[in-house]
Amino acid sequence: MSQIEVKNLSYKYGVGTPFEVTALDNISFSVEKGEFIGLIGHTGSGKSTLLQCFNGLLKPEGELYIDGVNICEKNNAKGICFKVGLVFQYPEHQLFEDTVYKDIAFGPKNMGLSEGEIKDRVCEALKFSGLSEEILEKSPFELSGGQKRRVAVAGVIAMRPEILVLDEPAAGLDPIGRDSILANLREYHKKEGKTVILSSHNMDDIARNCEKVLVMNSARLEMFETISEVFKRSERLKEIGLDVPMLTSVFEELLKEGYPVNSGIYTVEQAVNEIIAAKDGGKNA
Amino acid sequence: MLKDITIGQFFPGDSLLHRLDPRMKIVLTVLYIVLLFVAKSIVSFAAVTVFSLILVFLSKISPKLILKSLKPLLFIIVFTTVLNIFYVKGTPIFEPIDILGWQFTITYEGLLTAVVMVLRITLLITTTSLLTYTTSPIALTDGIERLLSPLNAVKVPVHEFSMMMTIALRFIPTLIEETEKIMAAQKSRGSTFSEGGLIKRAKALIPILVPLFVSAFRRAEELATAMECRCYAGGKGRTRLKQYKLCARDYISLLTVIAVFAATIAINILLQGIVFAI
Ligand SMILES: Nc1ncnc2c1ncn2[C@@H]1O[C@H](COP(=O)(O)OP(=O)(O)OP(=O)(O)O)[C@@H](O)[C@H]1O
Ligand SMILES: [Mg+2]
Repeated sequence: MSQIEVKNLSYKYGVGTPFEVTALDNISFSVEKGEFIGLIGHTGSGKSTLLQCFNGLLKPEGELYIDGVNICEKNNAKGICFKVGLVFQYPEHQLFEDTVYKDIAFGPKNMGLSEGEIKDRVCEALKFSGLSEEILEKSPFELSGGQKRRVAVAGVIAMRPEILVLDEPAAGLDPIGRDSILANLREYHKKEGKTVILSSHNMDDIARNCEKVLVMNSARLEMFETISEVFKRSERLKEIGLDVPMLTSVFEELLKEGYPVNSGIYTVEQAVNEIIAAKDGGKNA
Repeated sequence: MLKDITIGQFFPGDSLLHRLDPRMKIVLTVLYIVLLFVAKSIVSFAAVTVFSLILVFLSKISPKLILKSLKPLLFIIVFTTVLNIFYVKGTPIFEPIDILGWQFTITYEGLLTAVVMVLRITLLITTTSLLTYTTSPIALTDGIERLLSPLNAVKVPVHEFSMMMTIALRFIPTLIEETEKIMAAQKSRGSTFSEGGLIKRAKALIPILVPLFVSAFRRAEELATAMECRCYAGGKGRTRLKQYKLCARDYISLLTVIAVFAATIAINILLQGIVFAI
């Protein structure tokens, strides 16, 4: 059985009011342990809603199995938030303790761990987020925006979730901050072999990090395929209000101009190989 | 649970009630509330009830939503009913029943009073929520400001008060949304809000209240800056984008309510025999 199995998942906001919105419409897919999944979709397509279903915050219709347990059923959702760590959109707004240490320790404390264990976890999470130890005794409110974001991410990492779910963790950060958060994620994924699901509006971030991509379009799942397959269908992506990575569009233009290259290119390495191949091919012809 | 709060919520639409001038709507609502307390006999209450049902129908707001606005007050309604049924003295309907040494009896007057009380509370809430359901908060405070503007003469800062009210109303949904978001975020870090004793529950609120206050202050500051950047300097010499003008439908509504009012008083006087004192 896959680690995450989603079957016919639907969710509506505001049921019974004039403002009823279908945010998820009959979604099915499954994710294996250790995969790095990207989630893209236009604004309001239901990304955040889907992510909040994973750790039992929302109660959708349908079935959602985490390690074989259907968390849509009553009483099954207990403790699932420790197994599936969810980092919200703009998580820095949820900091509340008077020191960074206490804030990162909030999750582990709720898990009922011992003081010593909590300390280890906080240090580990801090290192993971690339923050220095001096920060621990500071108030989270005197940090910069990027630092706050890292503290918030560390607060979830400290729970050592089996599945890490992040809702646009890099939105609104400077390029360096963004790259370092994503690099840390890659590291977490590789070292610990944990499953990571990452939603983002930045196609380059998705291309650089993920193995497979979920594409949402108006509450429905449009595609769930490997990155190169998804970016090959750039026409469709553009139709549903999405973009492709910069490199992909460059190669598409080349293809249109009549150069013998493939579509679905998204990394620099691929691009280099492709150009060399095209050059050689051109010579031979 | 927070989503159940419907009082003060506005549902856009273009029904007759939506299009009425907000000033007129406020005046009519006040008149109507007075009417509810003037009505004394069962007959006039029946008339007022029918009138309210017509209003609900005219507003094109689903009756379900209106019932929902009554939910928070269900306890009070039940409580007054029970109290009235058993405590009002008068002609008993049946012989007193003896339960654990307590004498229970239901009187004819008690039953009537209970019915009237329930109707009164229900209609009061229904129509006042109709006002907020069909009037946008901005129009509402605008209307209040205009109605109170004569107070300017005695140096009451009417505009400032109404601006404060507008801002407060404007931020209720935002803060509710924010609270929900923060609650969800803390829940995903394993905090529980519905377990444990009183102290534990109170403590569980800290992770919500602190970020909420921080963001409320941040918002207030941003809003103040934004207002200053647009040269807001209080109500003095400020003109308005929206000018209200009373038109035929406003006068017709006023006449209708006055007619119902007059009818109620007439019924009270004519049917004095069956009027009961409340
Ligand atoms: N708390 C809520 N109450 C009512 N409707 C909501 C709520 N949250 C989201 N929605 C609606 O559900 C739909 C999906 O929203 P969601 O937040 O999942 O989108 P998203 O893909 O995450 O968008 P973005 O890229 O802007 O974050 C939208 O139409 C939105 O208006
Ligand atoms: Mg979102």
